[in-house]
Formats: sequence, structure tokens, C-alpha cells
Amino acid sequence: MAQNDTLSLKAVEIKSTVIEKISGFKKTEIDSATHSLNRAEDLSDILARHTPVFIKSYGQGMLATSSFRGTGASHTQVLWNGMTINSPMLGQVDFSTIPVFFTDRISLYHGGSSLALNSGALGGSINLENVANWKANSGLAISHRQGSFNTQSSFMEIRVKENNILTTTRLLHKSSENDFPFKNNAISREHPPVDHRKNASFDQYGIMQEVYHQTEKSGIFSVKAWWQDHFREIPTPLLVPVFKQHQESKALRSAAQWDLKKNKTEYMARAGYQNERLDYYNGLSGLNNTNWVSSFFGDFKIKQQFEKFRMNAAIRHEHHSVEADNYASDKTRDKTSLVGGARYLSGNRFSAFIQIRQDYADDEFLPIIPSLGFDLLIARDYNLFLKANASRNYHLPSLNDLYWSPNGNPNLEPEEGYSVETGFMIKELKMKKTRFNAEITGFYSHINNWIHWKPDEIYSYWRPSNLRKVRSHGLESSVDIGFYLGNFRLTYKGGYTFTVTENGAAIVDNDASVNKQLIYIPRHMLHSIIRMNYRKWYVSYGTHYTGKRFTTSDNSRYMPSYWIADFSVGWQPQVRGNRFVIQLDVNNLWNNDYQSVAWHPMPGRNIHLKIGLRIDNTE
Amino acid sequence: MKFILNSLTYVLISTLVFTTACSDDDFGEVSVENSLIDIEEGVFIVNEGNFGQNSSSISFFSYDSLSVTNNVFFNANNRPLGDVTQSMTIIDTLGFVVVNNSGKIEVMDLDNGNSVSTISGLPSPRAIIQINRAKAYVSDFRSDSIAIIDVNNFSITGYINLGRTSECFMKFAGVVFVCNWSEFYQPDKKNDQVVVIDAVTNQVIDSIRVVKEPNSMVIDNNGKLWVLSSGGFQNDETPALQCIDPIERKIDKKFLFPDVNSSPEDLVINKSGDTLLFVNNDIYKMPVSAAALPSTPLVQANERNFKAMDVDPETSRIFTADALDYQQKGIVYEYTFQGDEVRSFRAGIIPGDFAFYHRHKE
Repeated sequence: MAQNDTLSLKAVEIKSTVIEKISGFKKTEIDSATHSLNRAEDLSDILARHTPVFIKSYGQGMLATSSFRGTGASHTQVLWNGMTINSPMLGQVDFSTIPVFFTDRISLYHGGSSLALNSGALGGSINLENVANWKANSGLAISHRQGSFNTQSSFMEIRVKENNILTTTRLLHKSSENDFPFKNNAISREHPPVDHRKNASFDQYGIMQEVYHQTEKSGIFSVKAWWQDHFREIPTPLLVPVFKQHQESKALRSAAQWDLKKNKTEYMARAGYQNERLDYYNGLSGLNNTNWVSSFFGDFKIKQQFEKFRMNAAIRHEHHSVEADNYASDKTRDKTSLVGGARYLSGNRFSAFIQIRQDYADDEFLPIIPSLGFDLLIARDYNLFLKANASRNYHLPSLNDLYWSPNGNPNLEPEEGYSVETGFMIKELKMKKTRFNAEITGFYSHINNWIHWKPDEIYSYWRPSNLRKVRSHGLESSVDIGFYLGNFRLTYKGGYTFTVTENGAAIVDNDASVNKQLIYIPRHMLHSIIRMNYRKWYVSYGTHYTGKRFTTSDNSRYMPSYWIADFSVGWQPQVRGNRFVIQLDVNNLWNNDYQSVAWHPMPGRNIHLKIGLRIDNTE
Repeated sequence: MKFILNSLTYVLISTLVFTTACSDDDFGEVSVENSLIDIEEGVFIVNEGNFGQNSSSISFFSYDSLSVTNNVFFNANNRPLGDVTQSMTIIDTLGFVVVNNSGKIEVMDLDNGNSVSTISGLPSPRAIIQINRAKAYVSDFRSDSIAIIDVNNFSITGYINLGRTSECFMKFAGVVFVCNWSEFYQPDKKNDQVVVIDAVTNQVIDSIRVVKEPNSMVIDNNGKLWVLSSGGFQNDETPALQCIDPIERKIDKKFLFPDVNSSPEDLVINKSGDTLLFVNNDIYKMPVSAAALPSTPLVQANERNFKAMDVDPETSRIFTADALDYQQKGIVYEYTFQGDEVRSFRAGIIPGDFAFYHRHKE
């Protein structure tokens, strides 16, 4: 599938046994063509343009957090090869620090389906994987991308395959002056003067090493390590004078995995370790803040195939420790989970899935977490399935919520979520030269004990408490159409997401936020992309629309909607086995002025040119 | 079946339509309110807004029409006021609006809300006090100096170095008292001083040690300076109300609050100077002659969180505000001097200061 970009790996050959098929739950994957088209971008860009996840961005290369199915930033869990990489301090992930280049597969586990990976993701999970491609030869790929605002990125990938050993090395450097011009409507709305963003540069280095070993007898063994240094300046919102402020994160993440299949039994064992140092500097106060975070995880899973049943059992342990200037002492968290599940399969007409999970976290047993769902083929001619599922979930307070000094609240309870969803799916319907996929899903969830920070009545500083009750419901729909005619291929992918997330109960007297949409959660989102391939050429036109986001809990203020289009064209000739690629990207094609977060301007039209070369050892 | 296919077709068509759709020109935060400005006699409410979100605003409650106008500055100037507005001081017909995190003072024509001038380049301004026809002083949360402002041409004409940060002001008998409220930017300095400045020479002439974190001051009808201290961010000292002789610069009386964890704030006085008011969760009223702190409140907060409080010198009406969840329009309450509720209305995000305007009264 990855014909768009010679620099990308071919589609996955070895089926990962990690993830249990989960009937009735929704899982979507970023297709390989979209993945390779966005390979020079960050995870925040690809999610904002091509998925129903809302990305709240403070500007190109700046903090970018998520809202999945109308939930908060800490309710989206991000896993890298099995390990949760959300910051244990904030509970959230900064999506602009994760280069798409360091992933091979990005999948979205919507709502309760995230329970197949881990508990805690009330909105859903984003699963990042690196996978071995045994079919490709040894080779070297290099590329460079140069773009607006003095933005550049360089990539190198080296693959070495020797019998049953495969290694991949990836190197990355990205940097940007990021001094883009913008219309400053904080000065005047009628005639906004053009200003340039200041103190917004970034500089990122990264390396990822993978080693795979495969034998019939002992299965597949792999080790992956990813180190990265990410420096960024932090610009001020408009109307706040610019001052020196920056942060630097140095992170090492590593994971090991072993998979073995013996007859009808599959075994999987994984372990991971990560260590991150985050330095923050504030030039106003001279504050130099350092936080150390380290995490370990290990899990073991066994799967057994019976006639119509497939049973699985797993044990997982996570350990996080934090050394922060703002904690009174070093803090740790341990979470152990026991999971048992079963899948029933009756031909290809009906399948059902049930899972029970027991978590032990922060020295307490959480209530049992059940999830169940089914798929039913209701119209064979259309490959049309009915899907439904229900689940419960818990999200632990972040360590900042608990221990930030002096405002943390060690008595916080976990947030508790219940959700149901149902929908229809047309799966890989093929008609002559056309391929058609479509899905429409309605969901409803209820979150109790939603953690909310507000000024304490007695102490004048802000403290978190389990105040809010939040109801979230909505609709996710998507279509995917492919049309093929000889060398010509046309694909269209589009999706519309409707999300209502409301406060269910007053948290103070006279609370005007009851039954109002939560702040920074758009009701309407839309994304679409049209792509054409002809021989060595490809062209794509993508758009995404983000609806109005309220900025106050009583919905008295809002950010206007925005609509952004991106255009790409590429050419990839082949010269004596070596493959070239030239790709031109025009982001924000129509040069629209917009802000994702209030008073943080976003760049207008920006142009990037990528050239690359891949040399394959053709033996 | 038909329904499902139809709805999927609908989704497809709608996304295709959006592929070529146009966006509107509007960008940047918008308020759903857009009311006309009607400024007569009344009270300006300074709404702090959330830090980093430029959501501060000015509201006006008219005593004549009993109506509220929100977003006075925005509606008149078609631009946001700025980030975290701390206070407003009326000098003649101009409002000097201190926008803390934008490091500026917007000078606003009170007749129409128009910005007359912007005084920028202030590190972290908190409050402004008029000294005479020509000058005013501006306190600062971060700088160890206060700025001297020319109130006629709206420029910074000089600085007075206090060696510590500053917050509230009180002017009396040719001197200006400045409280040193915060130790955030100067953790090595104990924030327990009231600095005395000669208003003519702009020189620091003395300093009075008080309980930590003095946050508000008044002068009573006996010519005594009252200073309210909240005891420090980490409740290092017991909060206290102190009565100081401003000439001798000695503490005459000191009333300690019973709860070390409490945070009494917003000390104000009525026009006749015989009755103090302050917020300590509830609102309390206390004659200047009292021998002890009042034990029963004038107005009970109940579930509310009184963020600001002031008394109109002309009408003796008490205004206070509840910021609710700090993310929605806060509620302003008006009480009689006896503590009976007169009315309440919604202002902007985090109402934090009041400025009374009596244009017709001379």
C-alpha cells in the first residue's frame, strides 16, 4: 500500500499477536498512504487532519493536547509498543513532540475499545507501533525537507537484514525559527496589523534503534530504543509581553517483546522502560525547574484457541516515579492489572467479545472493569455489520493532581466512566473497480468524579477535586472509497464527528455551566482527503474543519470555527533500483487566519519541499 | 438498510461539500454579548479574566437604569482589554485600568469606554493611586520599584526603588503608604512591610513592620492607618488586622484572627470613616472603636466565594462578587450597609475590583 513514499516501509508482513480482536468495539488505523504522506510531520498534525481526535494546539511545534470523544487531555492514552507514554505528572501527552517518522503504525482505539490495551483511557487510546518488515531488503534512505519560517527536517533510515536478524536505525533532526507572520487581531479586529511570532523556535534530535530476531522455534524477539532531545521556546499569548521562556525534554524509551506461537497457543511477553528529564526556564522569575520521570512496565499474555472460542489472559504491571521540584518528596505509582477475556466466533456472521479486568493501583483495588461487545453481519451483500458494546472504565488522578505542592489533593478518587456505543459498518465492499468502507457510530458516556481545578474557598490557591459529572454523547462517521483504473487510483476518505460534552451537575451555587458544552471541545469536526495516484505521480487535497469551541464554562465566549486545507504533490522516479522522491506540501493552502487556542496564532500558508533517496541492496 | 445507506451517503456528500467550503473571516475569541454602552452614575466592575487567556473585561452597572453593560472596553475599542486586569482607579473622567499580565495601563474615557492612551512597559502592575494633579504611583508584583506616572500625558516619568515588590496604596498627610504583599519574585525578602514614601520628594522615608502579606489599607476618621494582613501564602503567621499611627508609624492595636489558615482580604471603610468592612470568607463589619474582631458576619458567604468587596462612598452600598467556577461570568451582589441583599447580576470572568463613578456629584 505504501506506494506514495519510497521512504516508508512496506505494509506489515508479520501479524502482530499483541492485540486481541475485539468484536463490537471501534478501532481505526491511519492508512499507510496517509501515514507516508505525513511522515515528516508530528503526530499532532496527522491526528488533527485525518482523525476525529481534536487537537488543541498552541502553534506549530508548540504544546498540542487532545480531546477524544469529548473528554479531557488526560483521557487519551498513548501507548508506544505497549508502554503508556502519558506523562505521569500531567496525565497527558504533548503530541507535537512525537514525530510520525518514529512510528510505523498508528491506530485509534475509540472509547471502551482502549480497554483491550490498558485501563484509564476514558476517551480512547492511540497506539503507536514499530513493526518489522521482513520482506524489504537492506538499504539506506535519506531525505531532507525545507520549508517556510526557516523550518527544516532531515531523516535517515538504515536497514540491515541478515538471515533471521533485522535491524533498523532511524535518525531525525527538526528545527524551526517558527517566526511566522500573523494578523494580530488583539491589536485591532478591523485592521489587524501583521506581526511575527516571537520566541517560538524549536529544535529536535532523535534516534530510534530496532532489532528483531525471528526463528520458527523460539518465536520473534525484538528490542526497540528511542532517544530524543526536544527543545522549544514558549511564546506568550497575544497581549502578554514576550519574555524568555523555554523547555527541553530529554527522553529515552525502550521496549522489548517476545512472541511465540505453539499450535493453538500464543504467548507474548513485553517489558519497557522510559526516563524523561524536563527542564523549564522562565526568564521573568529566573525559575529553573527540573522534573524527572521514569516508568517501567511489563506484561505477559497467553491466548488459547478452542473450536469457536478464543480465550486470553494477561497480567500487566506499571511503575512510575517522579522527582519534581514542586513535589514535597519523590512520588511513585504502581498499577497491576489482571485481565481475562473470551471471543466467540460463529462463522463470519456473529462474533462477541467479553473482558473482565481487575486493577490494583495506589494500594487499592479498583472495582471490576467489564467490557463486552458484538459484531453481527446483517446484510451479506453489503458486508454490513451491526456493532454494539458497553464498558466501564477508571482513570486515576495524575500525580500532579495528587501531590503538586501545596495545591495537590491526595484524597482524590479515580474518575469513573461508563459508556455504550452502537453503530453500523460496511467493511471492504468491492464493486467492480471500487472499494468502499463506511462506518457510523453513536456513543454515550458518563463520567463521574471528573477532576476539576478551582480556587479553594479557604486557601486562595487552586486545588483539584472530584467535582464534575460529565455526559458525553455523539456520532462518528466515516467513509473511505477507492477507485482503480489501470495506473490510475483515486481515493476519498472523509469523516464527520459530532460531540456533545456537557456538565451534568452544578459544582457551585448559581452554576451557569450546567448542561453546557465543556470548554475547548468542538461540537462539529470534519476531515476529508482526496488522493490521486498516476504512475509515479501523486497528488492530494485534504481539508479539516473544526467547529466553534467555547472558552468559558457558561458558554458566554467562544473561538470561531476554522477550516484548513492542505495540498501535496509528489513524484517518485526509479533510477537503476534507487528510488527518488520529491514532495511539495502546501499547508493551510487558502492562508486562513485561525487560532486553535485563544490568542495563540497559527501560521498561514506554509510551503515545504522534501527530497529523498532510497538505495536498496538488491543482492 | 435503506436508512443506513442513505445516512452514509449523506455523510459522504456533506464531507464533499465541506471539501470545497469557505470559512468565515472571524478569528480570535468572541463574546456572545454585544450590548450598548450606557454610562451614567454607577459602578465599574473589573473582571480579572483567566491567566494567559486575555479574558479580562470591564462591566458597568448603571444606578440610573439598573442595567449591566459587559465588555465595555471591547465594545468601544473592538479589541480585547488584555490579560489579567487587576484594578481600576478613576481620575477625573478617566479610568486607569491596570492590566497586570499585559504589563500596561489602559486609560479609558469613562463617557464612552474609548481608550485614550496605553501606558506600557510596566513589568507587572497591580494598582494605581493618584498623588496630585500631575502624578500617580503604580505598584508592581515583580519589580522592586514603583513607577511614577504623569497623569496628563500618560507617560512613565520615573521610579521609586522600594527594594521590594508592592501592592496596595494609601495616601495620608503628605506621605504614601505602600504594602509589600507578595514574596513570589523575592523569596529572600519577607513580605511584611508597609513602606512609607514622601509624596513630594518621591523618596522612601520609612518602613513599618506588619504581619506577613499586607493586602489592603484604609485611613479612618481618627486619622489612623488600618492594615489587613493575611499571614503569608503558606500561612506562616496568624492573619491580623492592625491599627497603626501613621505619624509615629507604630502599631497601636493588633487583632489576630482565630484561624491561622484563614485569608482575610479587602479591607474597606465607609465615607464617614467610622466603620471597617472586610472579607474573611464571610463579610464582616466592625466599628473603628471596637475592642475585638466581630464574631458574627454581616453577610454570610454560605457556598459562595467572595472574591472582591468594596463600599460605595456615596450610597454606602456594599458590592461583592462570586467568581463561581472561575470559568464563567461571575455574580456581583449588592447589599445595603446593614447587610440586606438588594440585587445580584452577572458581570465578566472573575470580577475582582470595583470603581464607583459619580459624575454628577461634585
